[in-house]
Amino acid sequence: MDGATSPVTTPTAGESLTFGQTIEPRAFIGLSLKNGLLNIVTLTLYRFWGKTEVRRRVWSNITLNGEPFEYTGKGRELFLGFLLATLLVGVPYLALILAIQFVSAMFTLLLLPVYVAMVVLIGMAIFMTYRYQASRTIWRGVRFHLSGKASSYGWSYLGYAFVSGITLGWYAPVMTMKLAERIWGEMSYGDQRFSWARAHKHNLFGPYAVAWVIGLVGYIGLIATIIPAAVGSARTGAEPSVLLFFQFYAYGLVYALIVVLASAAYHAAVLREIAASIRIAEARFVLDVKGGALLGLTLGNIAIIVLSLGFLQPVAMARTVKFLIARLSSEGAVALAEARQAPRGPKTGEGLADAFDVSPF
Amino acid sequence: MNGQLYDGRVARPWTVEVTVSGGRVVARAIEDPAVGLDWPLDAVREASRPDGRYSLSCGDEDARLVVDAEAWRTLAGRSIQDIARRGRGREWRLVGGLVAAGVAVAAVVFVGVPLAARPLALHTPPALEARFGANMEKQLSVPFRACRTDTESATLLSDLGARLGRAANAPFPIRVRAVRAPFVNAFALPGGTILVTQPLIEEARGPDELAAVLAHEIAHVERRHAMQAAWRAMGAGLLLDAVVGGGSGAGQQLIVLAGGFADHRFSRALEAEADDRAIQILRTENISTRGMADFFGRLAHRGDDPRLRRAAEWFQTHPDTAGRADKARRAIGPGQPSLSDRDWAVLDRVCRITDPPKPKSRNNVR
Repeated sequence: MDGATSPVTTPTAGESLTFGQTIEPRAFIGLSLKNGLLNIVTLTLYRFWGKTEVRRRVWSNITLNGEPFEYTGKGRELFLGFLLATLLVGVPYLALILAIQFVSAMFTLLLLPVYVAMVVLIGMAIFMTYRYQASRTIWRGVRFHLSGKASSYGWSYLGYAFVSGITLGWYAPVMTMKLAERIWGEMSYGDQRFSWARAHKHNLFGPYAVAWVIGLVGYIGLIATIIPAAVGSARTGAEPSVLLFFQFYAYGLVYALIVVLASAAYHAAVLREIAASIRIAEARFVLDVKGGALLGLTLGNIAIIVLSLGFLQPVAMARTVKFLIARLSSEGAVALAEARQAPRGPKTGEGLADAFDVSPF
Repeated sequence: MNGQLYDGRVARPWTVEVTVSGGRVVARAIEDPAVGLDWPLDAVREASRPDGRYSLSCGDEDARLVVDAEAWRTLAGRSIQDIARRGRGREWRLVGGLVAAGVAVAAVVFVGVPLAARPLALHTPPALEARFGANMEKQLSVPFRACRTDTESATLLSDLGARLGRAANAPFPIRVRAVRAPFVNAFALPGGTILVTQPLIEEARGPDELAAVLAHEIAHVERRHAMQAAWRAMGAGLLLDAVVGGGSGAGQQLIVLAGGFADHRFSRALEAEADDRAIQILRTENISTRGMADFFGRLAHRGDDPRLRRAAEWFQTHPDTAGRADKARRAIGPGQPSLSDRDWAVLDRVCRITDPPKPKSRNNVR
């Protein structure tokens, strides 16, 4: 390696990581409207290409050591993934529903295993989304790579979800960390592996307990408000009015806002802890996200999405990424310039995630 | 000119000398001539970077060549407009193709499925339709609570339905039930079950008006319109769900609205068919169509009657009620009342008879 003869600074053995971003959420309004209009005239078929364009724009405005990331995914890949998932998951499910309706009610018995399988599939969908996006993210011409098996992640997801269920949700923080480990412990940049060592720097159970208790009390309050109204309406014998349904929706919205409020500190702690647990060579990460700031971001995003009827969703996404990258820093060196190319990723992307609507971006 | 090459094998930058000649772009690393690339100029695409430079790529290759934007445009002989136009050309083709695909799907949903629904319905085995109807009735019993069926009123209602059903060639026994609902309407379910709402029975000013509505619904059953509607809704719904998939909001809503519109326009033909057949059924049973004319006529002029605001629902599912009243009026002939005054008085109370008294009475009704 001889950088001296070159006007470009050729990185030597190790470099520390400096993240930067030039994301301007307002600049996504035009793209959002264009995508929205094209979605309407194409019966939403444009959505795969629209999503790809948004990602391309977001990725290219994030830099590491001055060099931008690039998203190389294609709308066609998402579209094919969607067709595949429709065929492999949607058609059998539909066949089952029709069999229940027309052939025999005994087919209802199959619903339980199907719903269990659905949880596994949701886990697989999450994993496959990370894998696809990693394989379509390049930096300095070298792509990211997620190894490991989607099915194994899916079964773990089912197991953790089950334990979370029987512990009334108290296992959820552990589940979140274990799932993050399954992603980040298997991630690599080119041939350079990330590793995971749980930092235990940030207390998760404290803020989780606050969120859990407030969530439960709020839920009891919600039920206590709705039941008398519902019973009162049932007692008069009159059919429930439209107004009553709106009233219930309003209660639900208030409850959702309470949950967002109560869980912001927890979600911020999760983000900090995940970042603190990730390593690549000697580099460690700090994600300086506080509950209050995250709450502001979330409420702003909810307002943007709700008021624009979902059209400005890309703006919300740009805000989120900007928020995170602006708070991300790193210490310690890693020999990025020595990273060799990773194998190409899957040919199609995110079909399952689209079917279950679990794609993070 | 100089550029910066990421060769797609190792994540280190190479300073390269870039030349364009004979329609090819050639880059050679200054410090190691073995490192470089040789791309056909036509296949090279420019992507703008936040630092104002271009990142050049070629097909699916991993290598990226970063060059000064202005120097590249001069070297490659491409203007800003050329570069923008190339990208846009591909986009227009994509959007054109997708619009065509969307129109094709819409054509299948709004034209193909409705056309296929009738033959499908006529070829659906009655046993299958009956099972489907039974499931549907079970689901409808949640929003529309059934009125008691073990009373004389309920028996009179179901007997009237059965009598009219025998006059038609319905492939199913006709079962008529009264249900509670906040609107004036009656529905024919697949398989021969007919639900009549309490407000409709209260609105009817005599047995012949109710008989007219029942005859109309029985005609729907006989002609298997309910099954046809079910196939149409299922086919269109499935297809739209499949295309639209999970996470889109406003676009989906629009499609749903458009679907509802097409649905009503289509049912118009079926409604007219059911009216014509209902008039025949009433004649067979020697019931005057005056009841039909009066009932539709009153609904059509509901502006005068505040109580009839509840009939809004009727008009959503039964378009052109005034025109239909005229048709029934033209068909008016002599006839016998379909029920005696005494029986009608009993039937009229079908939903007012509530469960055996509990500590807290649930007697309702306006």
